[in-house]
Amino acid sequence: MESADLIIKTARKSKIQKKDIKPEMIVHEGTLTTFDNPLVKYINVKKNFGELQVLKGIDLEVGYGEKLTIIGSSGSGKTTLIRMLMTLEKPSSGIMEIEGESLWTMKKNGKTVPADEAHLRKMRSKVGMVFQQYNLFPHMTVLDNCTIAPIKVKGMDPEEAKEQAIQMLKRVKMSDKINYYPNQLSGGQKQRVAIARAVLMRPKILLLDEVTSALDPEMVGEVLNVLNEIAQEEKEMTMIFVTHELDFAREISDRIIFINEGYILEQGKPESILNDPKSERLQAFLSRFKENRNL
Amino acid sequence: MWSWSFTFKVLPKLLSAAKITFIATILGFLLASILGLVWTFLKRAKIHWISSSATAIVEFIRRTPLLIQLFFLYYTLPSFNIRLPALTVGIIGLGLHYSTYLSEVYRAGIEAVEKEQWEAAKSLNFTPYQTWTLVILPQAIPPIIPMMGNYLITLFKETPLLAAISVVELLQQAKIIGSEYFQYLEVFTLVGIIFFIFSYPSSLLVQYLEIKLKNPAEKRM
Amino acid sequence: MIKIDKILNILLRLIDASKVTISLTIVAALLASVIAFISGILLLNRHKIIRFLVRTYVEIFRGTSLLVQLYWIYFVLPFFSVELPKFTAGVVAIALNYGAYSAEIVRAGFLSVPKEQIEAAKALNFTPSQKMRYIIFPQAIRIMLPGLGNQMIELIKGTALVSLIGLEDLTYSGVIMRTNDIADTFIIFILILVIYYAISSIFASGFKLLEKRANVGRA
Repeated sequence: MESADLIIKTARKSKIQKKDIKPEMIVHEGTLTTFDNPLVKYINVKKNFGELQVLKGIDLEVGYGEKLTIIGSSGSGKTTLIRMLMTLEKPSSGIMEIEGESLWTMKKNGKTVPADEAHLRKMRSKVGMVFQQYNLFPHMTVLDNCTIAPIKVKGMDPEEAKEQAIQMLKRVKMSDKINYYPNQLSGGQKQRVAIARAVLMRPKILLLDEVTSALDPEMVGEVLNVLNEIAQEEKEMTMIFVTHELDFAREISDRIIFINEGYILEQGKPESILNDPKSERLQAFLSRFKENRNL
Repeated sequence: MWSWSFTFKVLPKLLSAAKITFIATILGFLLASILGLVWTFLKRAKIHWISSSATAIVEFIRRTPLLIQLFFLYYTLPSFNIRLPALTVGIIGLGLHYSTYLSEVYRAGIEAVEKEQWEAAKSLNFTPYQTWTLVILPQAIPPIIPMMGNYLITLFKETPLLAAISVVELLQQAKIIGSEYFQYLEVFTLVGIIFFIFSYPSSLLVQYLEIKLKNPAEKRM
Repeated sequence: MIKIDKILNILLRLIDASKVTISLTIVAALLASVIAFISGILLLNRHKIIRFLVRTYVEIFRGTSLLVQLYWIYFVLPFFSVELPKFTAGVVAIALNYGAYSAEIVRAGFLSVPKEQIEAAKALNFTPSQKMRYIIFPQAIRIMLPGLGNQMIELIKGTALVSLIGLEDLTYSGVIMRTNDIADTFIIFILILVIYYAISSIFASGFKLLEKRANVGRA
């Protein structure tokens, strides 16, 4: 454990302003935050976009099969946190590991060197992602969207891939639309296909980036229901949600982490985080949500 | 290989031939702009046979080579007792060919004017002529100026084709000098350079205008 | 007055001459496509020097005139001991010229693919070449096709210029026929125009079909 004194000293040395001092992380009672064998590990990960420092030092472990939800106000860096795990953004500094293996570096002749494309592809095969804007391929049918990657990337037999895709599309209640193109679907339908497409790759970690934020309100329910079922059924699959749907987060997650100004400020079990927030920031964040709902 | 003394000897001759190139460009474009508007209106005509034959003629001109059109005008007009200087025939050919491109540009500009503007003009009881000159065209033309600029540059670069009907423009002059001295390198390179000096900065200007004209539209939204 | 069999005779001779025009069109179009795709992709290269070099090629060939380029290749290159046959000179000039115009279309097409699509391909762990083949290219080509179709028509019309260096294409043969038969000038030129129109229209409808195919699933 680093003492607060030491942090302040280092901060003064590097002339970082006082507000950038890493706050003490509040961990609610009975919360598992470290694992003997973590699936994902972030060690002091920072990310800048030009001058703007979005993540200022993230330490986080995620366990096998864990359902983790990240909350925080917009611009707090929660999306960046998971996009780095999908290798869509590169951290400015820090270490990220999946199953004990470094994501952004690799060993070559005994030396540590930046990861090459082959290493990134190997690591990426453990991760999948559902995007806010669905990102379905517009030139392919629903079925092709779901089978192209299993066939081409995993080398699966096309018939087998098709069968699996149809089963999966049944689970997201889209099996009657397999020959439709994305443009013929509603937002909620598109997102359900996108979920099926991601799960079909059987990633160890599935990232879900504000998957209901772009949807019309009446479609949010159908997508959350599908997600809820999948989360229940896919016990092995680790899922990391970035979401503003707090009721959903309460129901589904093993743990919620609250990100504020580039740091993890508070984490704990859903009931405890949502009912008994310790920090002022989280209290303010939650009360804003309650107000909005009352409107 | 490259002779500078030859270059400086022939440069004035080339530049004076360039005058013909510019005259053909400007007059040809002027004709194309006017004729293009005529096509646009004919294609919008309510009477079906007028609009469909205008569309067919425009399509035909667009899909056939300017060179043949020039030959056609140059060699067949005299048999109808129309005798015109080669340069005039060239200008007519250029104007006719590019009018078909400009009519597409006008169409795009007119279609971009919101239909509410037509309704507003109607509600103010404008005559069709007033509607066009006071409401539609003033809004349709400015956004398409860069596109028109592009066709001006394209037309400029097509003027060497007039050499084929014996107009002594820049390229034809270069060819005459070249065959006279059997020294083609300098003259044809100079012609290329002259074309480049005029067309490249103009295309940069067009790009600049495109960006400039896009921004106020975005601000309005 | 005008005899049908005479017109038919002229038409058949012109159709025979249009073989040169058609083969020139096809060879030049294929070469122009290769040039356009390579240059278009290189215009997006991350190395500034490569971008600059390709940009220079594109601007020079767009900024000067096709006929000037054709004359340069046919009349000037022999002074550098590069003597190209007429057909080859025509192919090279036309391909370099329309390749330069089309490079810009290819570049814009690739740029039009939203970066979210590339992210989705990454999230599904496609290799770079799979990403290109299955995700980027099919979406980019849809944006390129209308522009490339227009360039195709321009290229066909552009082939007529080779008659000015004496290659015996449709235009050249027509002009020669006319000098032998001044009275038929009108008919000859009308027929030449009709043949060019037919060739252009065939290629134009080919591109329309391709566009339709590329637009499957789009509103």
